[in-house]
Amino acid sequence: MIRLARLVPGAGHEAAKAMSLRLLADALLEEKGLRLGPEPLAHTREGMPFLPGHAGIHISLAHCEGLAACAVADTPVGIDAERLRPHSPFAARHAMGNEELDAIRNARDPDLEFFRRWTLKESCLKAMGTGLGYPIRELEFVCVNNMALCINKPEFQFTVWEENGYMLALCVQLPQTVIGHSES
Amino acid sequence: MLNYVRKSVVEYVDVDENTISEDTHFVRDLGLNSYDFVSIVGKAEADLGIEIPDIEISGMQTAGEMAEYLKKKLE
Repeated sequence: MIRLARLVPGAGHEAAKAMSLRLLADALLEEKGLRLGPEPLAHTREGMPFLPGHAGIHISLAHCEGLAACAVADTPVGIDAERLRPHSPFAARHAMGNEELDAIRNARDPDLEFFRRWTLKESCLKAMGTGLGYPIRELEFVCVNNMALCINKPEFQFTVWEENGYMLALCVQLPQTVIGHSES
Repeated sequence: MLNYVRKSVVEYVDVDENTISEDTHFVRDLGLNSYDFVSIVGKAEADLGIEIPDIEISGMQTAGEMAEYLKKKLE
């Protein structure tokens, strides 16, 4: 479902984008038997990538300094990755509510705590398809080990983990369960 | 205001600020990801004493659009 690739130091965003697409092509071929054409992706108005003509296949791409990632699923999916480093207080100020800012400030490793929360939020925005246009502070999380729950988005399942100096988060929408009944 | 946007952007991407024009697209041309972009937005909020609602962020896809937005916000 997810694929990751390290990028050579100094690789620019075009190289990162190309690697994300390559990961996606490999994942689709292996998991869905789908071979991508030369211009495989379209983007929604919100900037979210999708595969035209394949409404049942959901994808998400991510890249940051040194890493590219992709996710493929049968339901809406979002993946995000960030290199662990001192976090921007400006990003924290914009994206985190007061309780979250306190949790980050009081954490044993504030940068790790910030990026855990940031990647969870970003993965959720991608899965929802809204991009940054959604009020990001409203997404609040409870984390237990590598699992997380978004308090006001229970229809999504989250995994968040640290790997080789990066924080990654994956968000997948749970399949809808339709309960039918017959009238007697 | 475009100069302010240029100087903010180069804190997050290794590019000559003189190459950033009004039409420079944050994602397509500069490869900024969401974290970079929100950092720039948050810095503008702090520097200029304004709040930028997330619903208005999607309208700032180029340096010129951000500069125009910030100018209007301060009027």
